[in-house]
Amino acid sequence: MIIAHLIYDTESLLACSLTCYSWYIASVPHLHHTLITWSRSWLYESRIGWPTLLQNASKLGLLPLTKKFRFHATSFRRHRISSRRFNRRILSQFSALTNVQDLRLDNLDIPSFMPRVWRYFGHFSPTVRSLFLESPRGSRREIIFFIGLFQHLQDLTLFNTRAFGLWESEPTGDPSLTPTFAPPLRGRLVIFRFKRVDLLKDMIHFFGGIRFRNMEFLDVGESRLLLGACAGTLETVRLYPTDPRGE
Amino acid sequence: MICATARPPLLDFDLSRNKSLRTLEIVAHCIVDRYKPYAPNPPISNFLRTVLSTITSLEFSKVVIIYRDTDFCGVAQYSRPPNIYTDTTPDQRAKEASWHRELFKVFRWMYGLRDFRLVLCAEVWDCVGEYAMRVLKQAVAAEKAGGRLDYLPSEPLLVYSPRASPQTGRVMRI
Repeated sequence: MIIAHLIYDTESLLACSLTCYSWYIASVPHLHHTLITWSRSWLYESRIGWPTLLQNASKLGLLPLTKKFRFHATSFRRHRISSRRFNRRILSQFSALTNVQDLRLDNLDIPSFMPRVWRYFGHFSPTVRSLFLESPRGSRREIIFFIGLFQHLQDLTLFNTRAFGLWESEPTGDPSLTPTFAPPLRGRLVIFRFKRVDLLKDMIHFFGGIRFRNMEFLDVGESRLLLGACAGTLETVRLYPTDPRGE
Repeated sequence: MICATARPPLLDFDLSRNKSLRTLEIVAHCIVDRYKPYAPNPPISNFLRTVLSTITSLEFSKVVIIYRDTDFCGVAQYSRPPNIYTDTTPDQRAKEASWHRELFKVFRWMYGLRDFRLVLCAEVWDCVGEYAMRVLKQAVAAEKAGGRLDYLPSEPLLVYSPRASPQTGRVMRI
């Protein structure tokens, strides 16, 4: 219990873990609670950082302790999270992340994982409760299919999804894709800079409605639709008076 | 001839259908600009008035004001790990106090539109939590001493909601 008070103090946790075996057992889950692939070197070499991170943690058997995982990638085409980043060894290490509850994926290139997306992300399905997608690539169906992989998903964050306009048409994807699960989605919805209104409509349609209790949005094309869809369940809403849609 | 069209009356923020709504959270720096600490401009007061007037839920009771790291004078927001400068100037502290005073004026105005329990929530990095709570306590104390919180049936509730910073909280960087 004393060690649990130190969860935000990494230095003290590290010191505790070196004291004795029982303190090590108590402190190590806190130390490895969050894992972030955070490498500036990706700007120059797409593979650096990512396998090293996994190898080190995998060798020590620490990956199952991870509860929160952020896979950071830049928006450059060759730096995005795509199937090209995985080989058999990396995939087997990646699959050891079996207890992740909070998953954040930046610049996820969903079409590159199709149709075998389950092979890459299926191990997250039973445990993930919170999903954060920043600038996901793919058609509406593909993004909804991806969200539908997580059968117990409660919280969803969608950040910075572009609208398709005159210069670029929306990718078509496979129109027959149907989500594997309809996640409960009863927690918190955070949407920032969201232009793809049709994606929201499809999500409500395919998941049989959404039932979020908390909502936060800024610069969302159709926030009225979201408020209406959660009319009976919404308990808390966070608003930004400077929202460009509200001026 | 310029033809002006009427703007839609903030239809995107109509909360009248949300019958179980209990809490409205508003981000502090969006109410009053930290760098121009005077009463909010008409679009923002219009926004707040519209949103508050659309709430029809019988369970609605709380307005939570969210303060972020950047709202606290002396917090180096871009430094890693985030830290607190202790050498803030009197001028900076005076500006911060002025910003808090303006915010409390808006809260009073909002309370005139609708009754609610006022909650001030510091949603900040874990390492600046204590400092943030101290600043908020001082702001409330200053308002109370000036008799400007008499309209509230109870004192504002102060809440701390920590965010684990990548450098200080439960993160292993390998």
